[in-house]
Amino acid sequence: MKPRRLRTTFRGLIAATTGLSGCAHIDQELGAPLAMEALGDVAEGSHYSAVLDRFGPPTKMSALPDGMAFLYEHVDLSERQYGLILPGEIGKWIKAVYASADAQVETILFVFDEQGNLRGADAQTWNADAGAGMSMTLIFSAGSFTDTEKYDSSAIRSLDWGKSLTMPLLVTLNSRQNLENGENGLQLTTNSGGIGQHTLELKTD
Amino acid sequence: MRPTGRIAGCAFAILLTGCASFGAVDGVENLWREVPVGEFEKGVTTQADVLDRLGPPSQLINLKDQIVYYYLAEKTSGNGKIFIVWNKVSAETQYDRAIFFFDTDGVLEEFAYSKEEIPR
Repeated sequence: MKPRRLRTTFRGLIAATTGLSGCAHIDQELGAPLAMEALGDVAEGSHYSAVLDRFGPPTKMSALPDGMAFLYEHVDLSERQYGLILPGEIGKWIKAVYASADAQVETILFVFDEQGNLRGADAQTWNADAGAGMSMTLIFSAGSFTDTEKYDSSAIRSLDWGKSLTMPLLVTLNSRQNLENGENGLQLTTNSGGIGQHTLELKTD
Repeated sequence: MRPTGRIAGCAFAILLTGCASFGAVDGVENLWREVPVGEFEKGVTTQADVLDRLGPPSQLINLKDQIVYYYLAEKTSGNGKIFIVWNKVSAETQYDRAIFFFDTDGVLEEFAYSKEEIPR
């Protein structure tokens, strides 16, 4: 390679790397995307076995006073971080990072009557601003700086039966309204905790 | 700086990178993927058969006139590419589920496995 061409290539490389200075991208996908288009294949009045056959076991399910409900969910989280150069002497020692996160959420809800026949169903997809945050550290790190807990909570959470005994007092007292054990209703993963029957628990935050 | 010095500088910068991978498994073992097709039969298989084959369920749900056994396995895996000026971390969580509906006599009414499967 000729020296001039080499210099151009070198400058291009430097420009490319400095253009992306201090960036990080963190992706997290929880579960497989839902077959949203298949909702039309399940007519009102269909037996729940048809839903199981088409969509498999639900992400969450609950008994209802006169039937049951299946909730399917899929969350795709994407966080972007940008390194910032602080002015003055301090900028030599402290690395500042600004981060923002987006979530793409897919949900499908099926409600069945006592005989297990479909009473109603609906699907929804939306993009949400999942939060933003800023960090200042002495060295660069590639961890998450946004609070996306309500989006990325694992489906395994509902298996933590024993932990309910060690929850804050108000949560324990409200355990008959627990939305994780499948017997008291359902709640979207993306909801904040203290709503509806759980407003009492807001006092523990 | 001579071109060779610059090339060496670039190569050194590229070598100052790293990568990482991570993973975790949670929930129950997805034994239902080993059960031959036809072994679980609606109207024949009982709760005892399922418990014997798969062990305790992740969740037991009490419907009005049905009992549901819900089995869930979770696997999270990811990787990270750490460069000097750009980093990328990707994580994917897979869920493998099985669900069994029994009538009040403990006989299997319906069952299903998730389309998403964690390889054993």
